[in-house]
Amino acid sequence: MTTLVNSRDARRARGYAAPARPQQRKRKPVVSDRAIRQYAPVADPMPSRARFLTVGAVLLLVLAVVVGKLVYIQGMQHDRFEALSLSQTRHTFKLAATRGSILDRKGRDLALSIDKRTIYADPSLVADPLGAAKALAPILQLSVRDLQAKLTQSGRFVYLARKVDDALAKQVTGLNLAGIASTNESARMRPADDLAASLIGQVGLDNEGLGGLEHQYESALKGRPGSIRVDADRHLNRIATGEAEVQPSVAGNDLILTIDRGLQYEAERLLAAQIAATRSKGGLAVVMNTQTGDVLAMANLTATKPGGVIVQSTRNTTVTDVFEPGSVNKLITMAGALEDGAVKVGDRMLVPDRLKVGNHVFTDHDPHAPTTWGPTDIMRESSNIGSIMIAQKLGRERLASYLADFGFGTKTGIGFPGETAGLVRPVAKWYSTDMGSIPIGMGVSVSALQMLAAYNAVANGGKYVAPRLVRATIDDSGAEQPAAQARTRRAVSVSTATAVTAMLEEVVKSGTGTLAQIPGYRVAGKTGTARKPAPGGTGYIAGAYVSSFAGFAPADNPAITAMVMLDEPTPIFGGLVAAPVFSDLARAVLRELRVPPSINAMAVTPAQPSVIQQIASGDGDAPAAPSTTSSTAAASCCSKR
Amino acid sequence: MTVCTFITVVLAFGVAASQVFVAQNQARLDHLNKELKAEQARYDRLRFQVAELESPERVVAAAHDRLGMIEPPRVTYVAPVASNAPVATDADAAAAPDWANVKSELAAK
Repeated sequence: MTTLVNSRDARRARGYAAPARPQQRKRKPVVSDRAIRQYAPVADPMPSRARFLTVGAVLLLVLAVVVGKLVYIQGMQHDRFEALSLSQTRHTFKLAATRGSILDRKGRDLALSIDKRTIYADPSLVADPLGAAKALAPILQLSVRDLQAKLTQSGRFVYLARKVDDALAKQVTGLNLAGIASTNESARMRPADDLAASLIGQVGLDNEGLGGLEHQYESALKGRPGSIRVDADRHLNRIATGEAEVQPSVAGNDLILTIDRGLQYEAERLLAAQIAATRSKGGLAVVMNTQTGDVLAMANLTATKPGGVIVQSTRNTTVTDVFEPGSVNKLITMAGALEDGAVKVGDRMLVPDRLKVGNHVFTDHDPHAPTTWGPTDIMRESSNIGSIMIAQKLGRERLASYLADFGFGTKTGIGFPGETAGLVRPVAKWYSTDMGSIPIGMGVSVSALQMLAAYNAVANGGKYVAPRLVRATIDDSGAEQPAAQARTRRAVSVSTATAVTAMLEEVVKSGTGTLAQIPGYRVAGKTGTARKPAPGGTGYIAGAYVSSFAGFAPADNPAITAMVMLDEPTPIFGGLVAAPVFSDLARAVLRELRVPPSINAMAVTPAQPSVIQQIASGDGDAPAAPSTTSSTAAASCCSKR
Repeated sequence: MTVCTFITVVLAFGVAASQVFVAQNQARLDHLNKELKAEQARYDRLRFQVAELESPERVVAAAHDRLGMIEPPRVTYVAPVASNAPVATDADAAAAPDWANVKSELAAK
């Protein structure tokens, strides 16, 4: 049997009749264009012309559309489309400026910036926020909930952890989580940990100065950020032939402080030990170069509780806080009286142990019979009544004037954020008791830095030198720009300063400040034990004292001036708690500065008669021999510290 | 015609080559900038480490813990004395050994 493979044959075999085929149209012979051009006769012009016109019209129309669109894009909507184009290719990146370093006086780093890793996420790329959060939580030490919330929030950028260690960043990137990445970010670091922390201050997460020198010198330290504008592809790879516009960043200036890192450490170490030993609430210690006013160390420490952990104070209390100075203020009273001639070194006066001024009876620390004392004895014994009697000879206006001359009531000019000017009432508003309280350091409040500067003026031959913390700056090009020299002015004459120095030396040699002695050096200084004013400004807190010692060394050629203050120590006397710290600290500073020991330091004649003779003879009076301490006063000296 | 074509082709190749050259150098520049940044960061980290190691607290801790050093109980100062201090006399000078002799002895040792 024959297999019908052809469908037409199959249909025919089944009896179907094939439908009649339409008659095929005769095809025109195919002739090439070339042949037409060579052999064909000229065709009828009309159809060709029509085609030509039609095609031409279409082309013109197309061209018109193109040109129209071109005019629309390039002319009418030029700015919009240009912006649209640039938004896709042109990218601007911020070039962060490196924050300047803070260096000590020898160029050793106290604060500097280094790159740390910051972990961030693009939530739109995170497919499994919960899974990613669970993986990241143990590494970043964050809760899964918090991380999940961050990974599901809107937007395309969210910080997960900023400025973390490289190792931790590697752990995170090692997870290869989609949408999680890390980048470099500048972080502020203090290599000496919290050394001088209250002085240096803090910076925020975005490296902006929040306190201390970081805030004070923010404009110099922060530098100027730059920018780079480049053409780049969608993967942010730079297009080599594209345009590039670079505005370079300018690094911040480095600050060279007057602080010495080693001395700062020593000041903090000694102060911390004494705060712990005396169960104080806190304390401060500050040292400055007598001639230049450069502050070499400025320590501010606080105990979390009496006898508790000692930490850096949150404020630079040396500059920002005021206290009633107490007996250390007798320096001003005495210097003013000597300068004005109200009292002479050789004068003698009968000093009782109590005196009524206004409606208040002032007393000496310990009862004693009326005693004949000279100014040196009054200073050595830290007699309140003797100081008040001298102030009364000086007069309230002149006393107020000398307080101002020594810098009380005005800022020192150190420029530290939050610096206080102290609290000194205008003389017109003095109470009747103020002539009893202010000469002995009550009813007036000063910062420790102000008091230090006052002592420094005496140490510096009567010339006040404004303390300063910054010695120079180093700009982006590496050039060192010295800071302005400290302002100076004369507070008292050289002869007055010399006389007061002799008295202060006597305080340390045989008065209330013997524990401030430094073997090998002559030391001058004064103790202070002042009650703490009650909050609200009326009265004092029972049993709360601020104990201090301010002085300088070597007394014969002062190189450093220092002050130590303890807040509510036990025992309370400045001569017992603050003077020993002064001694140890000043000794370390003198050694560091290579100040040679004094000649015959331990054989200083009492009250330096030669100086006293010089002052007294200048006034036309016969020199008076320095008084000897009465047995009563000598016996009670130790309880007056 | 041929010359024009040739010049066009050469120009096209020239432009392409210059583009490649620019692109290569840009890539190299980017790479160098990246290296510079990395080295700067490394320098900063090392500088921080040095400052950390030199910090007084760490030096004291190392002296105490690793070297077994202690704070001196007291410091002795040798203070200069005033003009009444004893001064060397001719007799002292005569009694002093001759340096030439001392030197020769030391050399012999």
